Amino acid sequence: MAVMAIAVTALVVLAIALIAVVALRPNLTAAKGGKALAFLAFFLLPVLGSIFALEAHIERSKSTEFCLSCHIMEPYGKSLRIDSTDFVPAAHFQNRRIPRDQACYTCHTNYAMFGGIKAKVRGLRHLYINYLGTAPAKIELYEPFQNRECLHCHAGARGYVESEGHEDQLEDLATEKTSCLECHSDVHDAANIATHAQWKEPKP
Amino acid sequence: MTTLEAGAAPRPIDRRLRRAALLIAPGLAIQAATLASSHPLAFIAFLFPGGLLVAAGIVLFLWAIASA
Repeated sequence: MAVMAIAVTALVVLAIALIAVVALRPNLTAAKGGKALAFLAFFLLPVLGSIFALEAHIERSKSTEFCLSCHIMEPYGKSLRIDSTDFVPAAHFQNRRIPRDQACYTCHTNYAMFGGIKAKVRGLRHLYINYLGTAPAKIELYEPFQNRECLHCHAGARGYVESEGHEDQLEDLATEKTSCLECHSDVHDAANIATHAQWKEPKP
Repeated sequence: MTTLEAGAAPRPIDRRLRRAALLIAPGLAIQAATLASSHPLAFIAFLFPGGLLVAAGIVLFLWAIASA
């Protein structure tokens, strides 16, 4: 991530320097080489710089820190640290079953085709609502949580396939006939987050 | 071959290039500055005004070279 930011900054500095040269000496563009320089400075480098910067921002938008920076998401962030692994998000976060720095995105992106793009578009909508609109009193998923998101990691895993309770349900779970959440129903419980003790991560 | 003399009147393309420069350079600087933060507001600043300035500058540049 930092490497990308440094690369973009270097590209931008180079573009600005070349733009300054052409803007201060526009006569340069009368020659063929000057035209190429202007094209590089005013078009190629800014386009490349913007694309790389956008890519860096999109990557950052997957971070847990990014999702939790909106005040309304605070209880959901706290739910990752509920001191009970009965809660699915807490169990996954605390046991590192998901990358902690992309905790929200890992479970809440859509693993179907264009799922990542859908997640980004929804993210833009969330930004709009957070800063310019009115957030709903109760946050709800756009659609029921799909087993597909769980099975993206769990499908085929020994701990999942052989565990008691899963063995005779595998087909129903794979075809979404039975929701994972029917049994694993303790999730964020954001409304009652204040009543749950928080896990204190031991310092290394 | 074009002969360029000191004190010659600036060509229209020169003015447009300078205007494009005044849009693209601050736009790029804003875009680079937003990379210092992971906050959603940094992303918004990257798009508006950063992206908007760069896009407007590029359009002005393309218009300048097309109409030259």
